Amino acid sequence: MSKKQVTAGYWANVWQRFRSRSAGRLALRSLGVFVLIAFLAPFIANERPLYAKLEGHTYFPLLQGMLVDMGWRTWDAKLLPAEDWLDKSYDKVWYTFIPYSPASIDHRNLNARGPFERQRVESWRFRHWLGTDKTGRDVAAGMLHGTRMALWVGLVAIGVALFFGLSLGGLAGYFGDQGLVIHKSTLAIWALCLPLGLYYVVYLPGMSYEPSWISQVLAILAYLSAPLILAMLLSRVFKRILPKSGQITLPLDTLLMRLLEIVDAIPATILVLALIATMEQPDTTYMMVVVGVVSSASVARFVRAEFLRVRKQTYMEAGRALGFGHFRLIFRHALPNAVGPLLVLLSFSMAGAILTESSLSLLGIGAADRVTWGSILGGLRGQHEIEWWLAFFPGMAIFFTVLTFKYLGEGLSEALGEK
Amino acid sequence: MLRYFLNRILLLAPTLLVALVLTFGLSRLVPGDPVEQADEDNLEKSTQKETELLRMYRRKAARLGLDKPVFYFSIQPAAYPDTLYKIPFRNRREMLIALLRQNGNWPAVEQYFVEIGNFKTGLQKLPDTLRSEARSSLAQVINDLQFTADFSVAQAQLQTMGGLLQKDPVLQQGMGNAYMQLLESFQYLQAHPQKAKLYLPAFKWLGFDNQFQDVLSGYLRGDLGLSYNDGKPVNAKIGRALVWTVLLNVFALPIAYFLAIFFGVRMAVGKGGRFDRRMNNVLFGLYALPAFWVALVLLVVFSNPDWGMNFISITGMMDLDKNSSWGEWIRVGARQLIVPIICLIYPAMTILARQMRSSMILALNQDFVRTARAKGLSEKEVIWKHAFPNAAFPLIAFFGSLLPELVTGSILLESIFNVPGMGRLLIYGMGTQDWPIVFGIMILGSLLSIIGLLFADLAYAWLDPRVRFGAESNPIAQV
Repeated sequence: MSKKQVTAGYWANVWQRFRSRSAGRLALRSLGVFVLIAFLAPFIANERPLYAKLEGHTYFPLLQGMLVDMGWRTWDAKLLPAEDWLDKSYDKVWYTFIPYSPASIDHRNLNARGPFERQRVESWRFRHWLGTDKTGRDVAAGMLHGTRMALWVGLVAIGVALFFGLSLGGLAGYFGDQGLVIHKSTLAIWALCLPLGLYYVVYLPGMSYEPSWISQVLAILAYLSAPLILAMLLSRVFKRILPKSGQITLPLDTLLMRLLEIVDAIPATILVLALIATMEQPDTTYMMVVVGVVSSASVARFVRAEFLRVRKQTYMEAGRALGFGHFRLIFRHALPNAVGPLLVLLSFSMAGAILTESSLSLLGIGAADRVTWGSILGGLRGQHEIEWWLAFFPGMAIFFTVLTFKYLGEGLSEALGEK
Repeated sequence: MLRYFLNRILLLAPTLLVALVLTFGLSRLVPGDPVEQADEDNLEKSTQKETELLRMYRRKAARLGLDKPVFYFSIQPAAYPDTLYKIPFRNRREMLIALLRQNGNWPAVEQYFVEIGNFKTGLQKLPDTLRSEARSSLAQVINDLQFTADFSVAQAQLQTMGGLLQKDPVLQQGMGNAYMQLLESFQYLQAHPQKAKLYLPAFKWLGFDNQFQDVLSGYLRGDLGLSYNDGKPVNAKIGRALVWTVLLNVFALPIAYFLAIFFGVRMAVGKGGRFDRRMNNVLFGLYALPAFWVALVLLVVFSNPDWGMNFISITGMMDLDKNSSWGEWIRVGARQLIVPIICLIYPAMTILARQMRSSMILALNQDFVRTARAKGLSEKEVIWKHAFPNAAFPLIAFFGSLLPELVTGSILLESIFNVPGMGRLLIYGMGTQDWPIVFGIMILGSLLSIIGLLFADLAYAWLDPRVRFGAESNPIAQV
């Protein structure tokens, strides 16, 4: 312990209070377990053996497969074809704990074998502990990799929501209706340059045919930032040249509220579905970006309210009086004081995003090849006789994940001293 | 009050308009060619002849009003032509755009495309006696070439065509000229790019006679268009589905509100007590339980004849018609609807009850409650006559936000239990790419959610005069 910690800081206090409740502690631990599973899933459930001896040679198919998937290596000729790993005749082999990948099909156990039913397997080592689904995929492997997907989609969704929500809500809340006073020429320049940037992003001129996604992203960033930089430079120049009298106040807050009213007017579920429909073959990440964009409205509203509250605090006034710039005031003073409540909101949004993803894949919308908790449940849709293991395990996983994030949020908000 | 009402409507009307434009924009972005998708007759299958195909497409597009410009104006690169929407087939339009994006010289691109068409029709017009292998492979290559946007691939395909023509002197005689023209136009296209035009945005006014205007006037008349699947009005389909969704909610909502008020008030009155603590945990657990999963589990347990609990069913209701007796309707309906109704009740109930509890706690701490108690009113009167009406604001706001839910229906529950309501219609529309249904529901949902917002605002203003006069609103209402 260093001397600095004699007077515990704000966050240390929050942490203390958070840890003092068993619910929060439990939630944090179970989050740890989920993250651990998400990282280790390929090493727990994989059809590729950890270690295999084939005709006198030693191989590590799992590790090699990872390098191959990343495009850094090719398969050794002996291991080809790189499929049906369970049917190869090895001299010696070590499998992972569950010797199945989420997508590997066990042709001897098709049509949903239950965990307690007779399974046609060689030994207990190859038993499907949580049964198989209709196409003969191992449920346990699907569950483990589903954890990975669930956390990933949650992170993507809240990341996107945070980006848009924070920038829009932050600006509106920080400046309010009276705070942003700019020169008329600046407004005119921005009103020209911003649409121009968007126009170039839509049409992306100068791109080769079928560009790679990296060059697309780079081009989008370039086309977005170039007009912005141009606008900044131009507005500085014009501000110097033109007389100082042409100042106007931009009602940022009202503008944002109008925008949010429009987003609110369209039911979120339908908006998400319609946005997903515009994609020919939506993949899970894209779907979550859509969910993030739609839910950024609530983040923006929240951040706006927080910033409006923070704005009136005396330390902000002091900062303004000392002549700090907007940038410093926002990032050093306003934002850190809004982080706590924001974390609570994000924790709840994470739960919401995971629920949304699982309900979308339950409905069969999105990528069919990825196994997620929702897609395991989705096999049961509109069916009269339901295999209990296909409903029970993924459902429990969703329930516990959602509960974890909700308790995390609840614990945080209590620790922060809200309510 | 009237002034407040008009004020709100004036503010919400532009919102609705923007929502309409957004919906329309999305409906033009979805994959597929609406001219081809509409109705059952498939153009590509009905004829192979190029000229006839184009004529049929144009006729159908004109009948559906899809040969008009999409919007009042367009903002696109100066290189793009303003009559692109008149070219038949969406995949060909996209092809042309792909060529244009690399080259920027529209007349040259158009000429090249015309030459491809000429070659195709020329090949089809050759006498049938000329059936050779070379001819069929030539037809294959030209079809491929029509959808090749990559110049190097196109080059290779043109070389293949040249080789095929040289092998067959009769073909060479018939198609040699057309081939030379095609090759020339391709070479001209490659030699004369005008890339600068791609960077220059151009604004073009396209007139009032456009697709958006048609769709908008349709919506204003209350006409949501025709379904792609069977050409029947979307209105009728939505109407039929709405009955089921409303039916579910008519049972679910009052029960959810009743339970929420009952639990919420009791928890608030005995705040911190045993009932409050236990109920809080129960509500929290219920809140985290995904309704669709509860639905599946209930379905597993109560529809399994092996376990002797064959109480609920997910079929039967679709078969009911006007001839079925009342008893049958109730019996079959109950078997299929009881679980979806339960699954609709509890999520709404948990949210409402937690809301009720917190706003009731706030209300009970107000001065007027203390005054009421000091006056010697009974606890019952204090709670229900003084605290509750003030605490009920959030519940009213919540009702406004529930209205659009009525349209979306519970997509998951309806899909799981085969209830032919709005949610299932929406998913069915998504699955079969029947966009008029999807966007019709979207429009209806937006309309209802705006009405819901208006309703909540007006109810607030009616119950709390302070809102009407623009003063600071009820402190409890902002929970």
